[in-house]
Amino acid sequence: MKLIIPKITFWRVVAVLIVIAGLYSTYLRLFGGLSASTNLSDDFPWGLWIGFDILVGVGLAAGGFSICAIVHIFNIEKYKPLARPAILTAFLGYLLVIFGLIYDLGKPYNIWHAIIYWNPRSVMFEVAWCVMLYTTVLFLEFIPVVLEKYRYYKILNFMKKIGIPIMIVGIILSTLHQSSLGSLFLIIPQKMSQIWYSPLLPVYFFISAIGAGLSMVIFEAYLSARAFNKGIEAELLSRVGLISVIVLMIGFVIKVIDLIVSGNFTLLLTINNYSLLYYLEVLIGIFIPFGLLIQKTFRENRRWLYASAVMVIAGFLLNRLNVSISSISPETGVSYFPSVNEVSVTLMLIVIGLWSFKLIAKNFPVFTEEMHQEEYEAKLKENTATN
Amino acid sequence: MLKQKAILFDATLCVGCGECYLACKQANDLPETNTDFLKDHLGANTYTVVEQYEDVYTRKLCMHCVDPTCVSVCPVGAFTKTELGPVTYDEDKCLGCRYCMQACPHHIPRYEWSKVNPRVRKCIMCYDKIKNGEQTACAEACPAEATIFGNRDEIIEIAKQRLAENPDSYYQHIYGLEEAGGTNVLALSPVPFDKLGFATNLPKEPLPTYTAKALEKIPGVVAGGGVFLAAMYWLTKRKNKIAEEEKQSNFTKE
Amino acid sequence: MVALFVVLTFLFFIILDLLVLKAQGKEHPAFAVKVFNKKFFFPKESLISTSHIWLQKVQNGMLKLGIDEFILKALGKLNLIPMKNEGEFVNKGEPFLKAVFGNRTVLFRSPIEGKINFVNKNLTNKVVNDCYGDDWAIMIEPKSNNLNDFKKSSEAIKWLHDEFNRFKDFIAAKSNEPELAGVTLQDGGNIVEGVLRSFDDNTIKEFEEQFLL
Repeated sequence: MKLIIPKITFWRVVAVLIVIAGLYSTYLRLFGGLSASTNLSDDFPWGLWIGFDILVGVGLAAGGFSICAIVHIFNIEKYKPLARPAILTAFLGYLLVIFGLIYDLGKPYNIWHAIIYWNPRSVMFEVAWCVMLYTTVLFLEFIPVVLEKYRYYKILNFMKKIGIPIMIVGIILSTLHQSSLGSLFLIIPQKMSQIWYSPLLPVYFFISAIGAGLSMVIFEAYLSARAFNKGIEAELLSRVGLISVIVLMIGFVIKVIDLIVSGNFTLLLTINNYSLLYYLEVLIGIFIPFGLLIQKTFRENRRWLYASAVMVIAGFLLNRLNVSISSISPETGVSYFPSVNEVSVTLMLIVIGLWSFKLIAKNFPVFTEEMHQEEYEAKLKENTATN
Repeated sequence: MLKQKAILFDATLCVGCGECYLACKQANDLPETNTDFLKDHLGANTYTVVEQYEDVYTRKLCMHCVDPTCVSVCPVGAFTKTELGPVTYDEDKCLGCRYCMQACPHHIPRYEWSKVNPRVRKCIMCYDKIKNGEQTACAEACPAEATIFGNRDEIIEIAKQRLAENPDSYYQHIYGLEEAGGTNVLALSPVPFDKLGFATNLPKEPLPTYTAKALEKIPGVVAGGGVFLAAMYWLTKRKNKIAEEEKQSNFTKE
Repeated sequence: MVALFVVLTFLFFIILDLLVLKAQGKEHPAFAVKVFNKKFFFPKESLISTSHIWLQKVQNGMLKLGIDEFILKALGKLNLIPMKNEGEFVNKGEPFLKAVFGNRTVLFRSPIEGKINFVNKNLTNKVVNDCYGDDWAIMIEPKSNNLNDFKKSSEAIKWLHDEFNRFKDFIAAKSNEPELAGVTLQDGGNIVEGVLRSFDDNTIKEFEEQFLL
């Protein structure tokens, strides 16, 4: 056997260190329970693992269904080169969300109970089902890439035929659970700061997931360029950036109208931790990127496009964590800050995600456009002829 | 139809003796958590506490809501609102998502954080006892009749009567009559309830109606979304095809 | 606090990555735009025609033909499709090679008359990379051995430089047209590789007429 010693690079060292720390935290979580590994308490039953790993993870994976809708439902074919990487990102994203959930659940071995014990009144129940089904859909959307490599043209041809209904199902499922993650918080109107609480939370979650998910597509393209030392589809991505900030701006306009109608905008007039966090969130998540990308010169400059995507994602992080953690005032004045273990597990999940993406993209045709039906048929004929 | 049971706690009568606290520990087989019961908090091993606010004593325990938030939010239905009124918990179904704790308007459910196989813990209104027609352990133990147990409608009558008979010693409100749709643990107090740490900013309608409003839109989203997306697919495909054909015919003309 | 912590951690990693790149003296590959520079390479033993097709003598008096580096830079990522089969005759000035780039095509005219002996089979579905080597297009048996019309070595390079200047003017003139608003043509005053793909069909046609005839 040939022993391959990978070259030592800065990021590889960091990644290995993160994974070692993450594995130690995993050990603590498994054998010591939640109190040994987290700073969660009766006052703060939800922390970083829910706020970041689940809410942010699912939200940022929304690029998958957004691009999918643009390319396959609205048939704007020029975005095709972005479809496969976006679907792979989403698929890995959802697997990581489920992985993260296993850390967070008190009894992870009961995770399958959602399949047999039903409570249709629960938003969490709906989210669980949508995530399960959508992960399956993402698998089906991604599997052609694998089949293409191994030349299973017959199955590919079949997959192509059921492709559109699957995509439609995927988009509906995404719409449902992206918004439902917001609905989770509808039930605690009296615990949340009214700056974030609104009956329209599901709508905001949906809109911001699309906006930030599209920026995530840009971010992911830059990461791929970095990892594989390749170029980017700059022209396409700059358009994606524009759509992203416009979507986010629409969400913001609805939010402002909502705040005015409900009278809660007065909360923003007093300066306190809540209002400052909200200002920060919209400033870096919406205003600055919007101001930049609405201008052609900035949009077409690769550095500014990257900076804007990073800002949109940062703003999105702030939003989700504000809703799930900052906005909720604990009864007893106890505050929550994630433990080292919570952080290391989260970082480890990200490292695993990046590694998997790299490994899959290296071995499968992720960065090529998918073939057309005619091509499959041609290949199929070719194959049967030679056999 | 069985009559719903309820607990009435009357803070004007409570002497802060802690008998209910001890009886609860005993009835549920819970270990000692604090030598001074007045300093104890609700926890995985403490389902009820007595708290002192100046010269008024009050109790904290699961309120057993009429339309409980925990029952509605649990993805696997581990909580049940029994016909008799108590809200019970099935540890075998539970996944440990802790949405119940996040959602509970009264901050009641507690978690066994340090266990590898953790459960949600809270008062279940001595369900096994009252099923057999007995009282709850706390009501049984109370020497001052500050905690009494009975049918909910009768309990409400008693509460109204007390407010009417001694209007000066009570703050004129029955907590639990309509807080978030009402509760099966009702309370009376000499001072406004927020002074005793009760959640007073609750809406009148049950909290599950808030999520129900979002959930009932799902069928519409599924049906409407399906039709919309299929139509968009068909339309844009057709548009592309026509554009392609036009291009072709222009080409041949040249 | 948690929210700020997470955002700062995220930004920390992003900035750290840029610093790592800087320390290594590298540029983020996504930031790098290939500038269409004036540096051209042309093989010593080859000749160049005014239609941007190079020719090289191989054994048995045959000539190997292919596209030059200028085309590669002007069109960017491209596929070559020979339009004639092995054994067919081609006249001088007759289209014999097609380049597909993005969703556009240009045709190349043969600089010489003769019989096509070989077509490079490896070109199928391949992005042209080594235009003077592996990615040659066809081998032709010329009718006459007169190769005086073609330029070689330094003369060829000089001609490529002239073509570059002419192309730059061509692009500058075209990019002022209003319908091209929204197209990335330039990066810091330089034209980028593959700039031609941003133009409309008419401009591509004009390019063909002005540079490939």
